[in-house]
Amino acid sequence: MLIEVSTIYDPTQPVETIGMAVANRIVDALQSVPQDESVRVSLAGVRGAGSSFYNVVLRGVEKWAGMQALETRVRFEFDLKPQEFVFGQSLRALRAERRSSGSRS
Amino acid sequence: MLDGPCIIDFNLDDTPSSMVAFLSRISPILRDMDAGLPVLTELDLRRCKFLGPSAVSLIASIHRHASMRGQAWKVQMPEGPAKLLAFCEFSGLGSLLHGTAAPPSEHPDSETAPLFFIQGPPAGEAERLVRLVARHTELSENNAEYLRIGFNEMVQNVADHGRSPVGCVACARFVASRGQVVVAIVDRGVGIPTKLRSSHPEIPTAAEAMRRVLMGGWSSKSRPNNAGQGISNLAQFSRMLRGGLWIISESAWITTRDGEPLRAGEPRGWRFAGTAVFFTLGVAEPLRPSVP
Repeated sequence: MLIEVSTIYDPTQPVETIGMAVANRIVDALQSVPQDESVRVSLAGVRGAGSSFYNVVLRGVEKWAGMQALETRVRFEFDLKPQEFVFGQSLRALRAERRSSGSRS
Repeated sequence: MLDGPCIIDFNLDDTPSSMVAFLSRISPILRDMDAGLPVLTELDLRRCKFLGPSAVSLIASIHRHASMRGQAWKVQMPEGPAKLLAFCEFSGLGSLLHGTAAPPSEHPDSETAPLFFIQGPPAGEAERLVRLVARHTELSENNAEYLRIGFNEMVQNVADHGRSPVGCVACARFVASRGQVVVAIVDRGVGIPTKLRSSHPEIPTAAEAMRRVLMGGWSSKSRPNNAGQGISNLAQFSRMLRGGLWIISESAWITTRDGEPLRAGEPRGWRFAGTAVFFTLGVAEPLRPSVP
């Protein structure tokens, strides 16, 4: 299944609103495809999305579908290097947070 | 309040040293503001021969904040050279300070994205910067996106943390000879050291708080979208695109080299209520002198 974020993304909307809308679409898609299938999330055409947007998306998916599903069943695709860089930093921060909370528990 | 005006007799050329000197010189004005005086010490720019977006944004943020608080402030504008007079007009500084008509903002020859004010999170304003550069040179999709994201990261930070009464005050200039865009974003809200140290009281100094936000991963986490990456992302963009980044917040300042903290300081004698972020990105090839 393919989710084209550019059809949802509206840069005039608050980042929490639009990020949660994307996260919900991903979670819905994960629930509607077989467990061994992945969901492709294309960021092609999305412009100006900063770390706040990716933080909301990643945390939303992790909260409702779990870190393992996020890491193994969701495939993010980009058309520009800056998108991929910022996304990578957000994912790295989330992993670090989870490692640190896991090590405390 | 001083007996006489704050006289700026040096150039304000977007370098950290000139901005720190500027803030030091105008410290009486900043103190007047904080004290709530009805009339602020005058600023005299007549001997200044160069102003960049950094100075324009700082002055505009102070002026707008003072106006909102009912504080009167007089600024004597530069008297030359012609290029500086043009910049004062096309940056929108003249019209802001003297209530004259706003200049045309998107003239094909204009190297300036005039002053603009953003209340709340970013909502497409970064396109002004993209159009500014694209008017003068070919701008790759990747570089345009570095510019958009870098700008939006800073505006989002102010919306999330700053509680700035004037929102963001921004101005930019494209310097064709260097192939660089110079961007200034200033707010008058809660500064980085106060905000970060409120959730991390173990951070010993304001300068150390600045160093940590540049390294990334340090945030007050006051909202779910915060992970403390915006400033470090911008620092990395400046590394990738042969640019630079420096920040003044409250009593501290910091500069970067290759995306890492380079120098930081907490000069005595002034405090800027708010945050000023200045960055350059080399989004185009520098112009080379033509060979005869």
